[in-house]
Amino acid sequence: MSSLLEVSSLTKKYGNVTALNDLNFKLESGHIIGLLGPNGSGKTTLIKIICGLLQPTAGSVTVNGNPVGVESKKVISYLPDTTYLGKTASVKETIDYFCDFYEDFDADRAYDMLGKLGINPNSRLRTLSKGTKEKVQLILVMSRRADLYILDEPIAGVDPAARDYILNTIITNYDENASILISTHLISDIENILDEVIFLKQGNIVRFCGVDEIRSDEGKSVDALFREVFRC
Amino acid sequence: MLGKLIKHDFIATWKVPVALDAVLIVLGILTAIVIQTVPHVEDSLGMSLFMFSFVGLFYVGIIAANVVTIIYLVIRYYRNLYTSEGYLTFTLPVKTDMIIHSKVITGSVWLFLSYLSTFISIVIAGIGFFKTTDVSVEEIKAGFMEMYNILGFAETGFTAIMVITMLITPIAGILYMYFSVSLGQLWQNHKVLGSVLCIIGLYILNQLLSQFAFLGSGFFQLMGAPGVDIDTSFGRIYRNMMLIICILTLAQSAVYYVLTLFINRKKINLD
Repeated sequence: MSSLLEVSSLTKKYGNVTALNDLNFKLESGHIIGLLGPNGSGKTTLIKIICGLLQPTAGSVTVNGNPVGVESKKVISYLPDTTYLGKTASVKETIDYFCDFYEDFDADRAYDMLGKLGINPNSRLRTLSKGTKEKVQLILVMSRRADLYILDEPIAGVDPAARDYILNTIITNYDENASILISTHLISDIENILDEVIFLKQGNIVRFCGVDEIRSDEGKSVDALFREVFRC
Repeated sequence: MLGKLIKHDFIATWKVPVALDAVLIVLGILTAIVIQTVPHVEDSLGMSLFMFSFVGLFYVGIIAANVVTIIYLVIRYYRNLYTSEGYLTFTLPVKTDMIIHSKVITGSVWLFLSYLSTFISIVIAGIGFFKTTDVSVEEIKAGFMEMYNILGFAETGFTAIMVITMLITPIAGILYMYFSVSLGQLWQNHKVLGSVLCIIGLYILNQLLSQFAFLGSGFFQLMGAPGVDIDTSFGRIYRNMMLIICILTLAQSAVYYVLTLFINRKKINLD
């Protein structure tokens, strides 16, 4: 049986700069994996290649055995590190949009989360604050029953209270058989929810292991190990 | 899925093109009213100036509405595909070809309607003008029939060529713009500038190619030939020119279409 995500000999170059260098790893279902590394380590590049937004220079990515394409996009729910929703639409129209394109989208769950946050579905996105827009986007992404959630910096640039909400939303809204790949450099905020971590440094995987392993073998928290590995 | 993409694209884009088309038709009606009213008002110099200004405004309005429609569609294409909105567009579980098809279909429909509203507004203004003259409806009809015959619409196949040209012109226009924008995205930096330069470069190329249509029409041979009836020559030149334009437009559109798909399938990197 194929892995949920399989990355083989993946390389991405921008001119002479190597953003990803011959990456190889597999992710299985039912895990929360932290994709950790400092700015410029290649986290977003890796995520974009998995989601089909960037073309790799070499290597391949498969999701449930399928190459990046329609089938992989059906099972990946992606939250980018920026707002990707059009400004003119209303929240409700955006939900309709997701309903139309994603068979696994649960509109009731989305409206329920909106209601809990007091966000009016008829609001136009351009009238919402940046933080509220990010919450709407997270709600849309987490209202899918996807196999793999890929969240790029979901807690960057938001206040601590919003971080708690976001993490709580992530934990309480994903199927246990699904996996979540979270990219961040704010490790202390998320390390309690992680099962595994991938340390990415200058386009290379320098560590891929379980969080319990780090704690038992190294006697350190993920945050402490991160600071050690990526010391400037 | 293509139907859903088209539906959402129409929902997202309808306001601006429809508003511009409506403005054009209203401007046509107002022009017709002004043209009809002014000759009956005293102070003819002032009113004539007003009428000419209004007709000028109508002319500028036609150009502006068509240009704004195209710019709006191009910006929408660029934003939807190559800015942060592209993160959603290109992660939808649909083939890239379908995304491009939906954009071309909706863009072509809006451009076609823009041309149609331009034509309707000119007809309305034209009716206003003819009502101020002594020319009867029969005479106008006869004039059109004469032109119809000179240009050779009655000839087999020519009407079909004209219809095909009219239908593919908005599609070709949209493909030219979308291809230019996509081509500009291949630049490492300054992608918007790249797109604009591609639009200008391809425009120059299009102009050069259209010169071939003129040369290939046999203009110089026919106009200089002794004993050739001017009406017959003009009709033949026009038919030759339209045939060449039709073939060139189809060929250009095919090239733009294939290359736009190729770029978006294989070359696009959303940084």
